[in-house]
Amino acid sequence: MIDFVQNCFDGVMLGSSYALLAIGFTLIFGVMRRLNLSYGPSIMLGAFVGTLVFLEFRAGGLAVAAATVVGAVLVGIYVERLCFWAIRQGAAVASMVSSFAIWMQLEEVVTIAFPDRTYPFPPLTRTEPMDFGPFFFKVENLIMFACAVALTLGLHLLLYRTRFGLRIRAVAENPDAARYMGINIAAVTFLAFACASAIGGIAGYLIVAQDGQITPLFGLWATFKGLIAMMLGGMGSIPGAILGGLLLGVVEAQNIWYLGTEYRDLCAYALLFVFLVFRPGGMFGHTLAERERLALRRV
Amino acid sequence: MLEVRGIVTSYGKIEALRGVDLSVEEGRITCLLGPNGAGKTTLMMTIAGILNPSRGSIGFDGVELVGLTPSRVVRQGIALVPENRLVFPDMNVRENLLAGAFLRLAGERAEVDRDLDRMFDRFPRLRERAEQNAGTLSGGEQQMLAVARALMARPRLLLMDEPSLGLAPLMVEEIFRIIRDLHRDGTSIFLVEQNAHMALQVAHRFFLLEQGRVTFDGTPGELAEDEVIQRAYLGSRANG
Repeated sequence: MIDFVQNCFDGVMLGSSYALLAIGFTLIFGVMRRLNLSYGPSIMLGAFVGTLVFLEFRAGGLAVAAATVVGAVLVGIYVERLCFWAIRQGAAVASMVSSFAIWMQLEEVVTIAFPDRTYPFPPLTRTEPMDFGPFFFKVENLIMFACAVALTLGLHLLLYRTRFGLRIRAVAENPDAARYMGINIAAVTFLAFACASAIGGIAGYLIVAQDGQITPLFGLWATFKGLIAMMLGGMGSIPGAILGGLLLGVVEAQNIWYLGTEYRDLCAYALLFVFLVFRPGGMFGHTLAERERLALRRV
Repeated sequence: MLEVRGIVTSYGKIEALRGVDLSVEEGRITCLLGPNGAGKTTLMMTIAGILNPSRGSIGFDGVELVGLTPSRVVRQGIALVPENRLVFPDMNVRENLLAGAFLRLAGERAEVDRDLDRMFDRFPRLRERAEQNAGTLSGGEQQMLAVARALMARPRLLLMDEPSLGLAPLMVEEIFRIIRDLHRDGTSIFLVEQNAHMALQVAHRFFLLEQGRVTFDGTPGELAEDEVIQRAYLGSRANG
């Protein structure tokens, strides 16, 4: 029983990083109704910028974090301009395919610039794990969890208390109506993308700093984890992204403990499959038909 | 107030508007009738700056609207109540109204809050449901919200695209009562409507749009006397 509870704690902390990745995904999907497969790889490239700063200048944690976030945002903007801004509205599949092409390009760039594949990344902290009764916690896990909570609260305030948030939500709910109110869709899309990339950059930094190393494969990993967590929660829903991330984290943590690390990803895919079959809209998602019905009541 | 001259708007190779001329007078209710697919909504979207016409001009109190972005058109003083209402279903009523005043939020927040209060006075049902999500409102309430949301931009000209569409008869009466009230308070209204019977009771001038062209222009009296229109839009009831 203690093992099970300990796994749940570990899973929630692991899941909080998945939740951040899923929030970035869902923010972009919510505003554009398009999938950005390059989300993970752009974070990966940001992390390599962080590594570069670390190796070249022996920079401390904060500078590496800043470099990672700035790198992720710049690459995110590059992806937005190429795959989403340049490809007109309504061509959602073209956007998705081109974001896949850019993914390959980003990986190429990294393997050429960093030929050794695996590079060191400065760890978050070297503090020993802490005990609470029968449970123990890694300090870097606690930091990650705290950052995820703070970021989520900040995003909530941004979305529900500011003019910028009103704009993002209006576009996410009905881009046509938002345009009639005089809201500039292209500008909102750009800012939402930058915002999602910044969240992804922070999440990426926390995850990579835990691993203590970075490889070009991190892009694939981040896209998969974020995508699965978003699908579990419901595309376009932020509470869904949080819950989906936590659920994925807990399921993985239990699996690692009871079945072994080698089954970790297999179980994540199985969980996704079960959801896609039985609840394709995710835990919080409205299907498009449901949204239409809500927005146009007959009586 | 609004002068539409020779507007041609196309979707790819198909011309939806093929040279539309009409005018809207200040302080009046002007009604655009026409069958489905005539181009009524296309015209509304062209005026609002959503669609770009390939030819023609739209003058609004001397300002050329063709080529302006939708937000510039809103700033000029034109707001649209879109077809099918298009409320934001997961935002509450208050947020929907604030979104309508979006362009004014940065500079005149206090004014916007006063307008919000005024809107709640005009539509008490919306005040009761201020914190409720728009998706939970009834169809009629959603239409009220769509009208109030457009008014939050403080338009001098209100464009309304089929506000009675899909509403129960009692609710249709209510919407037309609102249109009359708005007119009495000095708002100029350009209304697209398929319900000619109701429109006859409020509008001062009619245009008929058919296959992308204006084929009739006249007063309610002239409209009611026109035999073709009678048969197509008013049915037998107008003969009695």
